Amino acid sequence: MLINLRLANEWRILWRHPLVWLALAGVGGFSAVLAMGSPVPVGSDAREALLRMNLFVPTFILPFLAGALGPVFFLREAEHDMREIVGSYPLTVRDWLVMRLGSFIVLLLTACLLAQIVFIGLLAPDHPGGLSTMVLHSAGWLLLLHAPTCLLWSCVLARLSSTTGHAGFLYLAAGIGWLAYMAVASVTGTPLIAGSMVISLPLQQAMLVFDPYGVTALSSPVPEGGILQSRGLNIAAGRLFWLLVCVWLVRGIGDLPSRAGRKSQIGGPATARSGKTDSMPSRRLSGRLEHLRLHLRYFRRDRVFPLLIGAWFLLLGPEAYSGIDYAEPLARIVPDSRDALNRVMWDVLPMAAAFLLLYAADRICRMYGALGMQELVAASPYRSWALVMHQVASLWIISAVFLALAGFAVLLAQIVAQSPFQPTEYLLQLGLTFSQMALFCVLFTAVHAIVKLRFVANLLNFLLVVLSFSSLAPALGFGHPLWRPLATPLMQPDHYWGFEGSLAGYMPYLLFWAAMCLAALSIGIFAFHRNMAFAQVRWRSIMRSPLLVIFAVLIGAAIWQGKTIHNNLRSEGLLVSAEQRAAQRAGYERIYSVWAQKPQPAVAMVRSLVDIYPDENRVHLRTTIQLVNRTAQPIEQVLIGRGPSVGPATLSFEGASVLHADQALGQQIFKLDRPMQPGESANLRFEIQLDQSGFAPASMPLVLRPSFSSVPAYAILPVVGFRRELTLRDPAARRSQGLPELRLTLPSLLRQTPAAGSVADNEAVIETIISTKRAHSAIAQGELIRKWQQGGRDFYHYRTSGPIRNMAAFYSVPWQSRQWQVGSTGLQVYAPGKFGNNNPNILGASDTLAWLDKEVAPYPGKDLRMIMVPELGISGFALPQTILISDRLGMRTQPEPGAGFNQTYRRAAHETAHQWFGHMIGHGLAEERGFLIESLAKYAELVMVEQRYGEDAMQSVVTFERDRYRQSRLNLENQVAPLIDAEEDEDMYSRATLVFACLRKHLGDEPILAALRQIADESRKTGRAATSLGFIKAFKTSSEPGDAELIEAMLLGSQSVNAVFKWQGCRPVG
Amino acid sequence: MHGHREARKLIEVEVFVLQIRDLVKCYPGGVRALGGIDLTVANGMFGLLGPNGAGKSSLMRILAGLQLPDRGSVQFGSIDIVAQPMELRRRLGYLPQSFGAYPYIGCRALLRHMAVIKGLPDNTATAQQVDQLIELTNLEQHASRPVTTFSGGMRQRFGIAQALLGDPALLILDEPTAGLDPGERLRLYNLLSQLSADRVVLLSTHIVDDAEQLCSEVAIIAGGQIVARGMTEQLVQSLDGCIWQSTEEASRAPGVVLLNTAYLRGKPVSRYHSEGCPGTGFAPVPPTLEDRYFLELLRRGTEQC
Repeated sequence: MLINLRLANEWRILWRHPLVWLALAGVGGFSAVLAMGSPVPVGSDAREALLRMNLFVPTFILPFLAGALGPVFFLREAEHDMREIVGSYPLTVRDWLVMRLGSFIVLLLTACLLAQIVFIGLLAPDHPGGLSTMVLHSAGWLLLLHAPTCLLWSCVLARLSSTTGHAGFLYLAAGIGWLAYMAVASVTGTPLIAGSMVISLPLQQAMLVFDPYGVTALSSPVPEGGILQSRGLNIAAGRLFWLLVCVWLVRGIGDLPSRAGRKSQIGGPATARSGKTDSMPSRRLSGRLEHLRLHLRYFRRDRVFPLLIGAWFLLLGPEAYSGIDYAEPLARIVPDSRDALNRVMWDVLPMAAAFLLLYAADRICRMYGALGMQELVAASPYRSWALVMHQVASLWIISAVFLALAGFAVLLAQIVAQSPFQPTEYLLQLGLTFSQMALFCVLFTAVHAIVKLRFVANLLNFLLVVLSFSSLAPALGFGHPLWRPLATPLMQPDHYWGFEGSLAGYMPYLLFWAAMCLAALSIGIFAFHRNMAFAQVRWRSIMRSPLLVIFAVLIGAAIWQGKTIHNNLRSEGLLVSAEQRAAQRAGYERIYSVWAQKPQPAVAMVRSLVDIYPDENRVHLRTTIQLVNRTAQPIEQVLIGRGPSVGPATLSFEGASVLHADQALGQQIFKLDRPMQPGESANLRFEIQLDQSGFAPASMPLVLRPSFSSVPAYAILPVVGFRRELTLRDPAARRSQGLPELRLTLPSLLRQTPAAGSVADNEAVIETIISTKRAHSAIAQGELIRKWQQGGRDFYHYRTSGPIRNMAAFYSVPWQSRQWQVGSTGLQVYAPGKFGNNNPNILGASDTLAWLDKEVAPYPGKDLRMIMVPELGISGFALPQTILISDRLGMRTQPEPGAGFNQTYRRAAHETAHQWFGHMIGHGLAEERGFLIESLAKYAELVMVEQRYGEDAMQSVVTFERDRYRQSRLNLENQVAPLIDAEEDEDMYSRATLVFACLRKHLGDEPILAALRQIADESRKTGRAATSLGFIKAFKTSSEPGDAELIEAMLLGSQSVNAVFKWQGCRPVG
Repeated sequence: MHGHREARKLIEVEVFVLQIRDLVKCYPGGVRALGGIDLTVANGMFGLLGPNGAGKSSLMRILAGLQLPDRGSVQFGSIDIVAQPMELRRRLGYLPQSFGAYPYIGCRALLRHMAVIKGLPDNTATAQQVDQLIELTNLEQHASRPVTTFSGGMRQRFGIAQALLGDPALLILDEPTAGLDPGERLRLYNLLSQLSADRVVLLSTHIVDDAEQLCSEVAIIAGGQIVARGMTEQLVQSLDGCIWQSTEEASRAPGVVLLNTAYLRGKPVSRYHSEGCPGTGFAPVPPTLEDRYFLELLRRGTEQC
């Protein structure tokens, strides 16, 4: 059998083919990028880390590899006009299958093996001692995951080759296969792409068995009962099913691609060719229009064309429909055209359209060569510019047609979903996308015109698409946005502010790329090879060509525009790479960590004058920070730091002079004129003006836009002394920067080293006078003391009644607040649109305010402000006395039928609870992790949901978090970190919910609340930071003595989650 | 290679007869490419002459097992080509009218690759056979260059070399001299003459000179039918005394047929077929196969009218 593979003979051809080496190099490079930018959660064991890498092999590597190399194996003769010769050889279908299928599978498996070697090589240093485990599992996944996938792709492509004899079908199959799988993965929660979650449970359950790659069964939780509960059986059944499909595919191969026409050979090659070209000019159309029509007809008559249309609808229609009303798990929106278009217009469609145009460009630009007419056309008096422009125009028309079809597919989805139709939204979104696609057409044509070799031109164009739509450039160290060809900062619109967050940068980028593309096109026109194998012009003759002037002008314009973009991005600190940032943090720690031992003053008061100019995207901030020496020693020198990437600012220290200024790290050492004695204070003055050009899309926390401005003073104001939170915490990043391992005591071990954190040092009185444009609301922390108008602007004066956690932040929104009173606390909500008393945000915040105020500690302020924010990547965020909630998730969603609880209410309760858990306790101690903040907020959620909606609703929250936890953890039998030490989201949120549900069930709320009261009270009285162990101690004290074991097992235990829950009689996780 | 051939001669030489019976091939749209061809071809070089579109390539493809006929049978020795194309392919060498080659791979390596696909063992004997064919086709100087960089003549020689891989008993050559310069063409003539000694070589061409110089037997095909066939010598001799040449125009008497008018050193010279002298200024000239070819085409045209 192995002899029949004739591998040596196949290798004789393959090792000389550059595409084979390029593909293997691509696999190695992609694997390295994947392993270095690891999607593996911190703390994963070697096996899980490797598995998560391996999920990308069948889903991201093999489809592209198979698509790229398929024609080399299966259509070699057809592509190189050797059909008749090889067709006359004594080669049976079986021989051909064994030979080509076999060698193709061997090559794909070699690529998989290469990926394994790269994965293991890069993961091994992070998992000392895990090498043998990784090698063993690698071998297993090669057999279990990759070999069947290689077989499947090989059979699919072999079958397609033998039935179609056209490489386009193979590319199309690979492209559709990849995109369709991604679309399914995004709604089945397969952890491959960001934002993937279980939107369709039946589909997810079907994929547990029928996933062609077996990835869903390996990475998703299986049902706890029924026929799908065995992961192993699901995988085995799926593999068997697809093996049968492979057998069916192979059995259906009736003849070789080289003899595909044996049965009919319709009309012979000459007839088919003449049928395609049909170049007799129409009497009614001018020659040029006819020329254009000829290109379009050639593309339309491509046998792949009907499939492209079908695939286009199949890709976009279901994708738009499947999540048209999706907001988040268990929540829905009432969708309109914007929601429907957003499903596809900003990720799936641009990428699919770029690949489609890549193919179309090859067909259109190489048409005459493919038809053997290149010499006829090259010898004609048709000018090169006219030939090239016909190609561009043809691609524009194809682009416009497919965008229109995309719009139609989305419209159909809307009709099926009975969603209201807004034609202007279609025009806007399709129009904006067309501009980018039109530039792709120009660029692809230019590359085809300049590069004689078709393969090289296609490869270059492919690289352009990959660079444009992937994170390859940043991964290779090219982080500048202009390294992503034809990319603009334009983001999908939302219902809060439409395109406002990103539209300002769209046109500058578009102009830059337009100038670049047109410059490339002018070179393409000059150097156009006219589809001949030899150059048609001498390069030096460009000096006499008028195209040189055009090229120079366009390149000059592009450089000028690019420089404008670059300067703006740099001045806003947006060009600092993650590597540079890490280096800065490492340098900060290396040089200034000695200051952690030196007495430094604390911030007692922050007084700010803030002028926000929403329409000019600008803020002017003048702040006086009162520093107090709360130590027992006099202070002679003070370290003041500020973010080095923020714009120019002035900083002065009353009664001190600059001893040392470190521009690179943004640190200054001030020497006081006379030592600051214990209890004495001094003022630090800081002034800065920040502008946002809009050349980067708006992102939190600093946003300056007409409809929403957010000024995070806590990230802008100077920092006093050495702050541990500004150093690197990630072990791998520390290693790469040459820093020693961070030895922070785990919260569970703090009893051996008593906590030294101070809450008081983290708190300050915050007073703000803030102005904004007329009719806008300016928001800051504290009570509103006064509001007035001056100089055509609205002014607000806020001041906190006492010290709060020092995290000042200011906002300006075009909405007026609505106020509710909860006990002695005012709840003010800033949101677009109308909402009533029963709004779940209001209910969630009011209930939580009232309950925690009564049961744990009084709310530390007179007002709590809730601000609805546009789509900026946050669902909810809590600052002292201020809560930010996503407008989409907060105001537009409804619970889906059968959800059991209201996500909006749950989120509002959670963020409100952070006023206690996070801003009252849970800060001031670097060693503490998320337990006192997130886990306790999850506890508050449970209680609030139960009190408002009943026990069933609370159980629904528990079920939801159980599913989330099972979704996140591949192996539920693994040992876990004690809950109070855990750093992973699934532990701090989901596992914490399950733990508190179990504790509540067994012990009730009262011991928990008593413990919370006790640690909050102690912290307030002593000024020391609360600890998780302190909570556990108080919890045990307030419980029956016999409950201590349960409390310790739940909060301090390292046993697997299932083991603990089974032991305690709570419902196991999976 | 020659040793194999000698051994095979002893036992198979008399059974290498290609028999075509009532071969019909129609394409959609009513195009009748082959309209019931009957032909028997034995060892030696057999020429298939015909104008463009006569059906030659369709016939060649059917004979090579690349296309199925609508009706009829083709037998090569004991092999039914339609029913057993694979059996035929084991003994077939085929040079299509036009062909390409894989890029990036040199001529020798490509021949070796194709030899293995053709069923030859991947061993030194095959390597030697490849080297012999390279020498035979005078490609030694270019054996390492990719075939895609070859000139037209070199490419044709490569085509011949690949067709000869495995020492085939039936060699089908479709327009082998297309695009060759006179020197290349002459070399190819010599090569084909050597090869035709012990096998059936079917040469399809529209260049009459090729057939006349190389083939002892020819068939003229037009409109999908054999309009004349026989020994080349006989086909030509039958026109003895009937071919007349002049720079003048002949009378339009019945039986006088203008075969062709061609320029000779800038002056038009016409050749006529006539039982007697067609007019003053005419002189009898020795007939050629080209005269027979044009005459048959004209006759067929008349019949069609």
